[in-house]
Amino acid sequence: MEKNNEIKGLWEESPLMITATLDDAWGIGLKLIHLYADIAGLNYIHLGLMLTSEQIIDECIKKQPDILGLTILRSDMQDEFEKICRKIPDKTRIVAGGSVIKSESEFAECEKGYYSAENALSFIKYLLEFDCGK
Amino acid sequence: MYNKALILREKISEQFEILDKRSVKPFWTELETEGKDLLNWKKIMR
Repeated sequence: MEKNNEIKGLWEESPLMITATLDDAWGIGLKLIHLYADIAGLNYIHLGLMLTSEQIIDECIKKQPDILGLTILRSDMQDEFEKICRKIPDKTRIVAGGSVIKSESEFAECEKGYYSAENALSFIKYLLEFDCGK
Repeated sequence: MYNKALILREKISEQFEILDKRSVKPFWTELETEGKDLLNWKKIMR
């Protein structure tokens, strides 16, 4: 049973984040992202590594997350990333990390925009400013 | 009662400022250590 004075997180109601990688078989960056999500009190579901854009889009439509955390390592993932940007729910904001995000200031065309999390520190900054409206 | 969510925000912000102001950005191993410390602190605060 939850105690009344327990620190759940930064928000009254925890936002939901879905995490996945498109081309990263290691996913070490996501381990850090999950750790800091735990600290901030963000609920998250890790879909897995090396997923297709279709798998990620389907899960976002089913689960309607507030945040989609994606790791992208190679620049040839641009088309896949753009497809995700176009097809996920409007409410879902994208936080992208990985070597290609670090090296290219504008990796892909994404009308709804995405936040470039160069490292875990950038992600913490994003969380501190995140308002999911709940 | 002082809002514990606010205390958590202050604690995370404080750690973020310290790490962000370093001349050399921390390695992921350091971020992991900091993160585990923060998580332990949060558990103690419960």
